[in-house]
Amino acid sequence: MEEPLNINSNSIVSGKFAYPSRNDPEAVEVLVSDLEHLQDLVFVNDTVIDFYIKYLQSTEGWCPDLKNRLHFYNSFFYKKLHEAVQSQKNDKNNRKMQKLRKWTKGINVFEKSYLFVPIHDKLHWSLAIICLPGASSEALSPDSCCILHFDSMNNGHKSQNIFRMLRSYLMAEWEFQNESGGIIKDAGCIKRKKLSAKDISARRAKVPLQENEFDCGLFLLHFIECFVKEATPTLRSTEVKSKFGRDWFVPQDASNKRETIRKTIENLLEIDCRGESSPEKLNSFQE
Amino acid sequence: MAGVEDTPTSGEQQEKKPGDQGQHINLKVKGQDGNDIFFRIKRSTQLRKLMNAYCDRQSIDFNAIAFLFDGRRLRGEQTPDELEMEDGDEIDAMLHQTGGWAF
Repeated sequence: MEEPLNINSNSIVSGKFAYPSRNDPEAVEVLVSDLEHLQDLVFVNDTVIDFYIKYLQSTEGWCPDLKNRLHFYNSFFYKKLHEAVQSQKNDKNNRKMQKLRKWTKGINVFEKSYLFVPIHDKLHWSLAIICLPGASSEALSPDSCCILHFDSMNNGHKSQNIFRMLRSYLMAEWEFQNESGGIIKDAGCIKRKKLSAKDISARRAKVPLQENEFDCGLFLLHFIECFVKEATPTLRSTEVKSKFGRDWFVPQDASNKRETIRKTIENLLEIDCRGESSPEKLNSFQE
Repeated sequence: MAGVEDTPTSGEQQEKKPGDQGQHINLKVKGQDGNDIFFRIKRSTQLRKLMNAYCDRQSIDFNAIAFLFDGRRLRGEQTPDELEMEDGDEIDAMLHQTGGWAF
């Protein structure tokens, strides 16, 4: 039997840790107070979401080939994107959108297969996945570029709004890449076709629904975990669209993440207090 | 709050202190309400000072805000030097988000 950790012990009551490590510029800092968001009935916060997404990425279960073809935006990205899209009407130069590009510095999102966007709005979490498997960097079509919205509540977020935001993002990003010559091959010999909204298909995925009023953040994380488990770098968009359903997983599995994540964080707080924090060590807690 | 001047001065005025240029940096903290607050801190000063000063000024609890730089979450013990921040860089101050269901 595993000895339960006493999270109120003096050693970790004021504790915190940065994951994967303090030296990682993308690290997420988790405080002992974030554990409150994993207590029964409590809403999950952005730190728990962003931490667990990082944690999933550093576990060994994911095929390395696929791992390189995934990109995860953090939980604040969508809010900034919303701001940027709203300001587009009054700003011909797209300055806010330009700024948002710094969030993906050094990454060509069109070379990825799947882009994961956590969505937070009105006390609710849902998830969008932009699927680009097998997309070519010269042209995208509804067949190779598809936005899926995963929401654990029937009356959760309005998919159409999310599709509009993400289409604007992809179109602007495509344009920027074109201008900067980012992925134009042979010194500009190939001029890419302009990307328009109709080149990007979108659909709300049928998924298991939460059976309570507080687990949507956990569903978001479970959607990611289940999706990545089944994804391949070359899956066709048409195949992706038909993959899910109300019986994709048992809703209780998503709800159980509350306990799993709480234990993971408690373990990491404990390790950090003992000054042993190294990613190798941390991964051993995956079991 | 030594080391932090939360004075909303313009870039031009700060240019007048060339002696400081190497050591100090001007940073803009952008709130979700669209308001900007300018800070001038030493490159080697921990950002905790700036974060505290921002929260004091806005009368918000320190733990209610996430500070982001180019989308990366900032930690109090980091310094502008360590993050290779440049003069005039912008930090986003965003309210922490929680969610359970929509209504």
